[in-house]
Amino acid sequence: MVEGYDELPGISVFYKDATGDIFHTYSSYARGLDILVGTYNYLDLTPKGRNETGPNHNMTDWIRHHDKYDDDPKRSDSCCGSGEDHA
Amino acid sequence: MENHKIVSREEWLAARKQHSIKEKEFTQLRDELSRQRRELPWVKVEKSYVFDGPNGKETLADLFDGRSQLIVYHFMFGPEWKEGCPSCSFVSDHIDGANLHLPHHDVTLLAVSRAPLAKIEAFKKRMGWRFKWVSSYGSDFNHDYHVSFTKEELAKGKVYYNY
Repeated sequence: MVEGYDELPGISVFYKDATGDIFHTYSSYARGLDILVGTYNYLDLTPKGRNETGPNHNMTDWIRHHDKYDDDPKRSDSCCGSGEDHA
Repeated sequence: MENHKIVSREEWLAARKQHSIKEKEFTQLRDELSRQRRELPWVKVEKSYVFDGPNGKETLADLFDGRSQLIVYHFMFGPEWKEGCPSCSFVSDHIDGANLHLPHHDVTLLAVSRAPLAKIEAFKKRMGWRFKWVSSYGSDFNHDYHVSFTKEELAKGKVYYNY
């Protein structure tokens, strides 16, 4: 449980039968959502794996909005860059 | 990554085949787990929920869009937030690919957040996403499915999440 958060992630599944009745069949949260992330499946095949070595040991160590990465994806040492513009 | 064991192709193949036994066990376990998941009992949804979406007000039944199975991704985007959460955005970067196929297999997959629709649509445009994303603002939906919590719950430390 992440303290102080008023919103948390999850997934819920519903079924609607022929009469229109709706049923809640499943919900999952936290690490249960890993299977939605194809990127993790690729990372799990690599020598470095998920490589989440930051303070949280999860995706928040490295994930940014995809328009907010400031590294050059061609550089493998981007974590230690001098901050200069490589463009 | 230093000093990793380096072997001949023959030794590599032997180790890889050994690992493959575990992988196959895992695949079969996963199939069995999914079978057991499908056997879980259901709960009838008695409450009516209304969402604000691109087609106006829509009920939970409307969200099925003519299909029998609905998957809701509970995307963390609170009413006061300026943008959706980065981790949920990471997860959601994978939705549009799946959605090229799921609607053809009796599954509707969409996202729900408490942020008002205008904020959702602006952020969705920024991220370049195509999937449907509706607002549950003013509805009990997020609270009932344990992804949004009241100030009272947070203050008391009585938040029910992830069972």
